[in-house]
Amino acid sequence: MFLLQAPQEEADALADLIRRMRREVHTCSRCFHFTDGELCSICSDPARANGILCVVESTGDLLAIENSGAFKGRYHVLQGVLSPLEAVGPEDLRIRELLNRIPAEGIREVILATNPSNEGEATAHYLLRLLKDRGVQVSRIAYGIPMGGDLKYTDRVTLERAMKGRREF
Amino acid sequence: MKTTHTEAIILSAKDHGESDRLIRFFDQENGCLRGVAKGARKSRERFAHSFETFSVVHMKYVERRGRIWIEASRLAEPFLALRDDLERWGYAALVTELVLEMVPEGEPNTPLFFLVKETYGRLSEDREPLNVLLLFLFRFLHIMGYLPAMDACCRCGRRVSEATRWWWTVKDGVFYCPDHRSFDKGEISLDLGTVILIRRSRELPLPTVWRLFFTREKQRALLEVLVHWVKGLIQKDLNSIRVLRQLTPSS
Repeated sequence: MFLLQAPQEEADALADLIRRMRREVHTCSRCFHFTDGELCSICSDPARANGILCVVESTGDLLAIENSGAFKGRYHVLQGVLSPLEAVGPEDLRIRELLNRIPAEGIREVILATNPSNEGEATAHYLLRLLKDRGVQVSRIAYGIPMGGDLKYTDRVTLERAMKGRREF
Repeated sequence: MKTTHTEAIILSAKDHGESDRLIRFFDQENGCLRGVAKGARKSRERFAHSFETFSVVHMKYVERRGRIWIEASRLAEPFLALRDDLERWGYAALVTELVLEMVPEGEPNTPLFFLVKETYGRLSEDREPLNVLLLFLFRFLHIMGYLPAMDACCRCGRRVSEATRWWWTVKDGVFYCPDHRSFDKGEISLDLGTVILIRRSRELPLPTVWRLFFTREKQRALLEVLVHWVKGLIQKDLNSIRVLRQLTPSS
């Protein structure tokens, strides 16, 4: 309704922008985050820490971590997760490119930040199997109770993982 | 409007619209169904962790205007160990895919529900996951009515105990003694011990069937034959087998 009632030039401008986005935005040749240049803003930022790589499923996950401000290293976007029922295997993800980046960029630590879902967990285990003999430290993001959460209302899987992943205080 | 409280196995979950999820599940009493979980992508309380594939949940749903609406779901057993081992995880995906592809929706099948649930559990902990998968496959194909009787030669009626080697033409579902084998490309040779194991895999009570053991040399060959047969039955490739071969090249 809004577009039908908006001035013609506004609707045209929006259509032009969508066309331009489709034409110009593609994935970064290094990390597979979206960009309109050869490298994305993160890969081309000299201030980011080298040697530490955070592996995420999607650009949405990358943006969530970026917004938190908790990580200042480099990223690698897998563009999905393993999913046998959907016929998504290792060859359909950006795993070969991830393995190539490790020696090429002198990566010392890989943080596996796939979601704690069935597919995300299995993908993390698959990556661990590939990475463990490549001379890098491999870590997995922690599981636990969200800030402001209430133990009474927390599901049993999260509680179990939070107890297993407890650390000295 | 009918409300159902049940135990269910989550077979698949997909995003549906802005905030809903479309869930395919195996209801203990009413068979394979699909329902919409309204607001499941946003709600953390009603549906926390409960729509993960291979999970057993306690579910409440209502049927309204010919559709199923999932009102609440609580995780009962997530079988977390499956995620730590890609071979077991791939086998669980194959089990799930076979149910999704071959079990008609809306037809109650309680024995199959318990077979699937028990198979996930065994795949999580048994030392021989491929043996568990084979036992599932034979029992599943028996419950679905595809497995031949294997008690006598289909041509001459010779009893199974009267020969030590038998020939099974899988795609035609026929079973022959050595004198009447078809020499068909798809036939498989079975020794008497394996024939007896296959027969017992469908006769024994579910809790004890897992004691049966196919020798390791035969496991791969049997899986190949069964997968080939199933692909013929459903007239398509199995996604999980394609991915499993990438994940564990030896499988």
